[in-house]
Amino acid sequence: MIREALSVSGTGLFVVFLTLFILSLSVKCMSYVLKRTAKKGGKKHGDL
Amino acid sequence: MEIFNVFYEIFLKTGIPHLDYRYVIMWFIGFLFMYLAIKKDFEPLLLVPIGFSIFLVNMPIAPLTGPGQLIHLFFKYGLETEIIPCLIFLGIGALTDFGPMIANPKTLLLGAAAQLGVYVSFFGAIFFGFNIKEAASIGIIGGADGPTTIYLATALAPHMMGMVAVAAYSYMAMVPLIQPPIMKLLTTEAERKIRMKQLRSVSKTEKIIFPIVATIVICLLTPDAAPLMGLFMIGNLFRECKVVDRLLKTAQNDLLNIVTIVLGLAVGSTMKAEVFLNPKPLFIFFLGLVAFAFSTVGGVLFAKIMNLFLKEKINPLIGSAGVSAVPMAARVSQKVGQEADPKNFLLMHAMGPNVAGVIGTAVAAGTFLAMLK
Repeated sequence: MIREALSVSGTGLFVVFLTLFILSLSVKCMSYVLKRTAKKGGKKHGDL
Repeated sequence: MEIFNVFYEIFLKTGIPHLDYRYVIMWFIGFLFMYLAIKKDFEPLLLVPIGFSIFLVNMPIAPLTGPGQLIHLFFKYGLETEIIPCLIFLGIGALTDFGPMIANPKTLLLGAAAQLGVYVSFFGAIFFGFNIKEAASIGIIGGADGPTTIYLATALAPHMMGMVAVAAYSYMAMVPLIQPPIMKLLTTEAERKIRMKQLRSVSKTEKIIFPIVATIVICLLTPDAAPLMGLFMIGNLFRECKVVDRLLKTAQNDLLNIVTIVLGLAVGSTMKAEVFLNPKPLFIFFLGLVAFAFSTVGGVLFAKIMNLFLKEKINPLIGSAGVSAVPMAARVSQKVGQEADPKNFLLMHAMGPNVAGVIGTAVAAGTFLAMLK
């Protein structure tokens, strides 16, 4: 039981960190790409 | 004599001969919840219906919770099918501004660190003799997110759903009492005075694309969190796209209010005397407190660790906002920060980890489901 609990909590915490870390990188990338695209297209940052 | 028998028959059909002390104890517990909600303003939107429902379902022989009866139908179609927690997430998504988190995405990691309490109390529950599924349902209280707690408990330990839901909502209401002493204990005066640079403005496009990006990342990595996160993100898209005003208003107001009423009644209905009056709820309430405390510790300590590597320091007080409890935990960060420096405004900075905590808790629940269901 303890071994299973250790594996569940270890994997769980790792997946939570991994998911939020990847999400944080994705948000960074998204902001970067949008900024670059807006500059190239000559549009003001924030316009659709 | 005949008349006496008729009256006696009628008397036997009332609730009075079936009343015993356990029901009366539960009435007092129901009254306590209503008192906390009405007089002390502790999560009134939920504790009023939950408190009254506890009171109602502990009326002897009242046809409410048997198969096909009114409150049982709320429970069966609302909670057993897991529709209500997901619809609540739709409403919460429609009310959430991800701007502070998009402006400072590293705060997402604080939302992950503040899940520490989930796993500490998961272990605690196993030491107290709960099985692994029950322990996961207790641990998730540390995420400070009511709908996620209900969602996970319904799937893994439905018999404990009422107790863990009530513990989660009770502690969420007590965030301003539980967190500040821990935050002060773990930080120095100088750390509490750290001022953070004003957040950049986030464009409309970023806000519109975020729910789509987040759905892709979360649903690919933790598919079991998809029902909660999917509805959370569609609610947020309603808010940010600005073209579905009617849907947005419904999600933010009418729908959220209706499901909150049904949720409160259904959760309260699980707290019948025969289920609640044993030592287990005491352990659950104790472990819930442990979970909240360790989640606060996780958030604050991780912010301090991040400061070892960051050029622009973050105020560790915003780490405690990584427990969901939106926006109360962020307000607590602001309040404790202003006690050290009245001109320090941490609220918007704390909103980043605060909404990240909602995502973190849903991911933690999804991981538990993937491994234990």
